[in-house]
Amino acid sequence: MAIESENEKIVKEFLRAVENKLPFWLRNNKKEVEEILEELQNHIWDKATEIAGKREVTEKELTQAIQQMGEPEEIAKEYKRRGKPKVYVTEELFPLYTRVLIITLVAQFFLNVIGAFFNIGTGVAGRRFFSGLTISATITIILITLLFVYLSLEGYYPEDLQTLSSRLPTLFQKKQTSTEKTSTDKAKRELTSIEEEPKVKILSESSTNVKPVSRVEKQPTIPQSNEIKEKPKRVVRYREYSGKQTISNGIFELFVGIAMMILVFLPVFEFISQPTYYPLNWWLFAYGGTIVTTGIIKILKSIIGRIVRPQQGLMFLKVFPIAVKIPLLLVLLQSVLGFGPYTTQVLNVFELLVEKLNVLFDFNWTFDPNIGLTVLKVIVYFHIVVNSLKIFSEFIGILRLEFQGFPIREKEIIEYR
Amino acid sequence: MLKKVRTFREEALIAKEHYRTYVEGFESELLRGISTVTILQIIQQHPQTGLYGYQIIKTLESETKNLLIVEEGTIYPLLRKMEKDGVLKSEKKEIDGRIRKYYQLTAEGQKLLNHMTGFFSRLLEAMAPLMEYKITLPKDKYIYCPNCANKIKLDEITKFCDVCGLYIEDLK
Repeated sequence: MAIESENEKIVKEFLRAVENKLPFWLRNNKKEVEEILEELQNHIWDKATEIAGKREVTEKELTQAIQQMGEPEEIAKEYKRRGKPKVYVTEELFPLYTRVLIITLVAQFFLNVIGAFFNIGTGVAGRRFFSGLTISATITIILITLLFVYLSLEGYYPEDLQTLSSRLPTLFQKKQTSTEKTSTDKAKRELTSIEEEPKVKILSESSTNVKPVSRVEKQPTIPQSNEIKEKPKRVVRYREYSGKQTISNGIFELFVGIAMMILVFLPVFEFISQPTYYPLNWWLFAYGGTIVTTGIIKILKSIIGRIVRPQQGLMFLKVFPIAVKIPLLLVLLQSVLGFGPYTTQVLNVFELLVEKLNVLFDFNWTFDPNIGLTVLKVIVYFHIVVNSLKIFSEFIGILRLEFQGFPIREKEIIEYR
Repeated sequence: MLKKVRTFREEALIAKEHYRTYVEGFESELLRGISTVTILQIIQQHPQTGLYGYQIIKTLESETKNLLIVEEGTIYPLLRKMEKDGVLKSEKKEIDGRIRKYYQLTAEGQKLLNHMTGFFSRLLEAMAPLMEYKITLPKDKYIYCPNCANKIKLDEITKFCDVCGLYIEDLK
């Protein structure tokens, strides 16, 4: 019994190593992972039994069988082999890549328009707009391309990034759903692509003088067990890990944060840092930094997958950038640790906004600092409450992981055995 | 495969890491496609019962006299991919307390295999003069589509190539 458990431990260790190396999109599907590991496990035992011959399987045979399986990295790498290369981003991810790129560039265009709006009347609005757009667009293209190259290398398909896709406007979404909606469509797409391989040029030949022969079916060459027992189909409740949205959220937050950190230092947003209006750009930079940090932690969480302790560690780490946001928000209203308050600076930006609207649309609005302060207070307190709840939810998440395992949802499926 | 080949002398070509890696890379690329065709061919030979991963590897070893050996762990990702692509279908059966996944060709998989074997056969035939070997294709049993190299049984009742749709009745 003791030997058996030791043997099982060796196999389980190998299987765990393979599981940990699997790409996130696959690890996310618990049922599929179980099937993969079950197949590998059976193979190891078959091989070990063959090596042992008539003897009982020992640690030695199992280790030998595992060695012949290959390295866990190599096995996992094979599962990442998905998608057809198109430049460096796979053909499957290319539509999503272009959509993300277009949407981000459009968003940056409008952000720069907003920035230019504050520069009206300075004589440099146009120049600052174009320089801002060029710099931010270049950085965005580089970052998004690098990210999609990585996702292509890891074998991701658009459906593995469902949340990211769902965040995109419906106009762009439709295109994707028409080509990627079902696995049958994917299979058809693959089959078509195989058929579309370059044609072979073969000279026509005369085969008119050959006679048809009868069909000969080859007999099985290896023994088959007669004891095949088939179980009837049954409905089982299946627990599925629901952490798929983490990577999409992480990518989304990463872009938002980076955009925030870059844009505030571009000439088009210079009004934020001008002495007249006090330097708010560093505040925005710090806030963008916290968003980038949570984005990176979320991406790391998705890469690590279903390993309890590192997940808990990252969840704990995630609390810090969220917690930093609270004093950052408070500093807009009052002094925190000698910094701030930045109330006047924000109200000045509000005033500038009203001023520019009056110029542009010929309004006759008067800026009321009391209304401005109320608006600012609502924004600040609302975000403080939201971030406090986020911190609370992270701690609950850590405890839930400890006592209940991974966040999973149950669904019924029909299992054929 | 060179991966498993020992080096006996220091001046041997593959004693140098650069050349060993080069040849290993070449073999690996070449074997990837060949393994797919061979595995499908083995599965095709058992249309009723299907085969599970370990049986496929053992058959592959015995049929190719241990020359074509796939890294054992890498066959399962390949089978899974082919299943996802609709080339294979699988069925779980319990034997001696262990659940096995038996793989069989789908109807589309069968057509694709015909095309792959046809293409591969014609390729070997075309390369023969260059490589100084002789190859005789069983043209008394099959015709090879002039457009896509699909391998079609002569006694098959079909007027068109399954893969590219070319009219082939005149070729029979």
